[in-house]
Amino acid sequence: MATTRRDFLKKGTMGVSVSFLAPQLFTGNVFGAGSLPGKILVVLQLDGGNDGVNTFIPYTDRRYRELRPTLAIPEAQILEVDDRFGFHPSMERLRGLYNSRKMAFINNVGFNTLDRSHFRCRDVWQTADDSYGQVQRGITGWLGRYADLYLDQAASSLTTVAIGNRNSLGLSAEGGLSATVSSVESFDVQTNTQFPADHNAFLSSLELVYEESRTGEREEAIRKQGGDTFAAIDLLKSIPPPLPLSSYPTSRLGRAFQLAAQLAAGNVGTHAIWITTSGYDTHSNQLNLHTKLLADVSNSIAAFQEDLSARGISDRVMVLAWSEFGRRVEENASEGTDHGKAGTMFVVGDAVKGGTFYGDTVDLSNLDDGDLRTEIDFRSVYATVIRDFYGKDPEPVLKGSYANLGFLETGPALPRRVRTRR
Amino acid sequence: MTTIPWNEENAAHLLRRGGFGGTAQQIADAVEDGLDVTVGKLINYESVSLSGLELRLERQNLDIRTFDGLARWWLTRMIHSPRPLEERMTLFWHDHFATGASKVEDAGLMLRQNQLLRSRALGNFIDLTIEISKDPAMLIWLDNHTSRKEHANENYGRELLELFTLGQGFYSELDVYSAAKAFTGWTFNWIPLEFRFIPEWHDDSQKDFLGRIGNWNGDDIVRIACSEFAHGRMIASKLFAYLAYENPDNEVIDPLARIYLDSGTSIRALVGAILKSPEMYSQRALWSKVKSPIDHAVIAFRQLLLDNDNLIWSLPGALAVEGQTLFDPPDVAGWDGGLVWINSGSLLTRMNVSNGFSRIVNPARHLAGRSVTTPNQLVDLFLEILGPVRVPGKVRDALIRYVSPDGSLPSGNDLLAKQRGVVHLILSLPEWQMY
Repeated sequence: MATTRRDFLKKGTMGVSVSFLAPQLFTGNVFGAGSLPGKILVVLQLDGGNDGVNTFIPYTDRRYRELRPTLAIPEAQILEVDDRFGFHPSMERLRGLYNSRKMAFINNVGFNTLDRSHFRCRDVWQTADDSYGQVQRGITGWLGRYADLYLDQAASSLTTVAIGNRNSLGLSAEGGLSATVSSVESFDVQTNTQFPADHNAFLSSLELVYEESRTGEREEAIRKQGGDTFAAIDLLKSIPPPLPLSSYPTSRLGRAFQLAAQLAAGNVGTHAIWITTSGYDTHSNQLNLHTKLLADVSNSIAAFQEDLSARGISDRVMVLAWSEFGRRVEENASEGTDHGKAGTMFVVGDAVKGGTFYGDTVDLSNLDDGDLRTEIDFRSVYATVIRDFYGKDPEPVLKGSYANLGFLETGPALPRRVRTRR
Repeated sequence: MTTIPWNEENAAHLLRRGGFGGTAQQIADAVEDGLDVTVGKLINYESVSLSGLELRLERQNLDIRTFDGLARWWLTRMIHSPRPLEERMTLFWHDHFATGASKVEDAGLMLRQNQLLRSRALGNFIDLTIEISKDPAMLIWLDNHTSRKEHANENYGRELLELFTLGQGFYSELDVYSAAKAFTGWTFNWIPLEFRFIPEWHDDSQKDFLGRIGNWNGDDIVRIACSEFAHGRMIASKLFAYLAYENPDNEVIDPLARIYLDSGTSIRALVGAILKSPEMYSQRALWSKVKSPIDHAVIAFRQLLLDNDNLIWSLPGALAVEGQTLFDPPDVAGWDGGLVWINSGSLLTRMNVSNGFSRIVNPARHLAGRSVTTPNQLVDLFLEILGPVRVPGKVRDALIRYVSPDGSLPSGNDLLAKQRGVVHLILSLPEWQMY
């Protein structure tokens, strides 16, 4: 039995009555009087190590075809943007966004200690800490630290949301928990339909057993997650439905972006959304695999942008796509590519100064043990987003000063004392 | 050697970690048998007959050509096998040599790998790893089946060193290249389905691997890697963390690593030593681990004496939402484990799965021979059956008030509602997510 959760849910800030208000009545003001509607960063993790060279293709570099006899995309199929680069042919819709200046690539992104390990690199990108080796207790993610420093995480149980069935290290914070949601429909407590009369007694007891704090560290963490989850149930019920005529692919990724648009439109206090899509570890049979993967990404993001525009919120949302490393430039004998170093990121949204690429061009004659060289530290990308999209000082989040890459329209001015440090 | 107090708490702990939880009767028997006999029964399981289990699997008539069917087949084994450690260790190796259906795309190959893991679950690690290196599902999963000397595919060589044998920091990029070269030409045939070595694909050159130079083949690479102390430490600490507690100190691990290496990488020797070590029964170990979704479901099934194949039918879907799809771990590193299991969606699903379990609990099976006349006794009975699990006093009070606000036990249908409801509540508790 699905709960109607009025009797169940917490007195907290979010309370119960959200769904009774017309959405326009509380736009922007539920999460703190006078605050602007929140900016929402959607992080897209291309898990496995995306091959940047075959995503934003340096098709006129003569080494491209030499190093990739079977994997080079034929020139006639490449969606050219200038005399150096072109999109992979499956990314037609993203090229449209590029042409309308809402998308940009950032070339040669990585970090100095990139070591071709999925696991370490993934952790480094998510924690923004490259001293970081093994999973350590208490380590936080870069967006988790952003939330700790700049957001009132108690104001919403959906401050940061991972879509899917796994949480993300990148959202891990000290001062709050991120929500993990795979579908809104199933996000509810079920009670025993054999005994409908017991429904209320069961729910209030469940709430009670999650109220008493625990002495065990892990038990307490689970208890808190439970309390947050109960609070998120009502909040999720208040988000608007999918738009009827949307063009999302029916893939898991398409559905994730559709849910991200609902969350963004729902004004439920969400500031960051994490979406992970996997399959990028293309050691063999790369041509087919990569074509499907990039088509899914391109079509999902393009549908997302249309959805945001239709809802009138495209100015508040941007997408940042990353992968733990790029791939080896020279193909292997399995028609695939092995783990590499620097890679290609991309950003999409109204805030992006798009239709171009940032960082130097890609030089396939000047490689680092067969891999692209890191030219831009990935934390510069984060710093640019924190500064110009969120309008906050990135230094305390990243624990260091990183160059602003200028790929976003400049955000609001920082308080003077902070600006003087830049 | 420190004496290990042998009591209900430690016996129940051993049966949770070395299996999937004991029933009240099994825990009582283990207390009676003593530690050595109980561990002996767990690890020397070959003599225990599986005929009952095989009959049940036949009766279920599962379609093991599908991944859901295969998951139901394995879940049935975990729930009903009289060799719980065999299934526990098979699951451990599935997590260690994590191979995923998403890429292998063939349930028959995954079944074959699962049977390999089961047949060598407590065998010799080097043998197991050489076999896994020849296993068709693994050859597809890490792309080695297409690896040729012209440009070796590095995927298997890298993960073999990083995840399967040594761990980060104990090999160089040169070692990765050398390992990759040594495995060139290791592929398989579909008909008949078997490992195949293609000499023309194999790189016959001298290879420098971990400082040793020779014309190494894949099995040499496994043997050399597994002779390193770092390997002993890695396997000992991973198994110790699985069975006893996480983040153990080197003083605890090093003697175990030596036992394991001195035995010629015998997994049985290592598991036996861990299960009989005082650390296994220390406060650091008891109730210190977060149940995986499978632990949550299988332990509930066993301790609640559930015998319902239809419920097993629905489990794979729920386990997927909880983050654990059998035969399809998230990547080659397996499942992260620990608190990563717990997020809002997964915790909610654990609660809802618990509702499904509680709906078919037959209280008479647990009440037989016991006198339960008050709400307190009812709550304590289920806390004992499902653990025994310790909860804060106020939580116990809340459970008692749920059963009856006025101290008298309800009757008839109302009593059944509360009996099942209290089980649903206990399985939803933060404490019960631990084991």
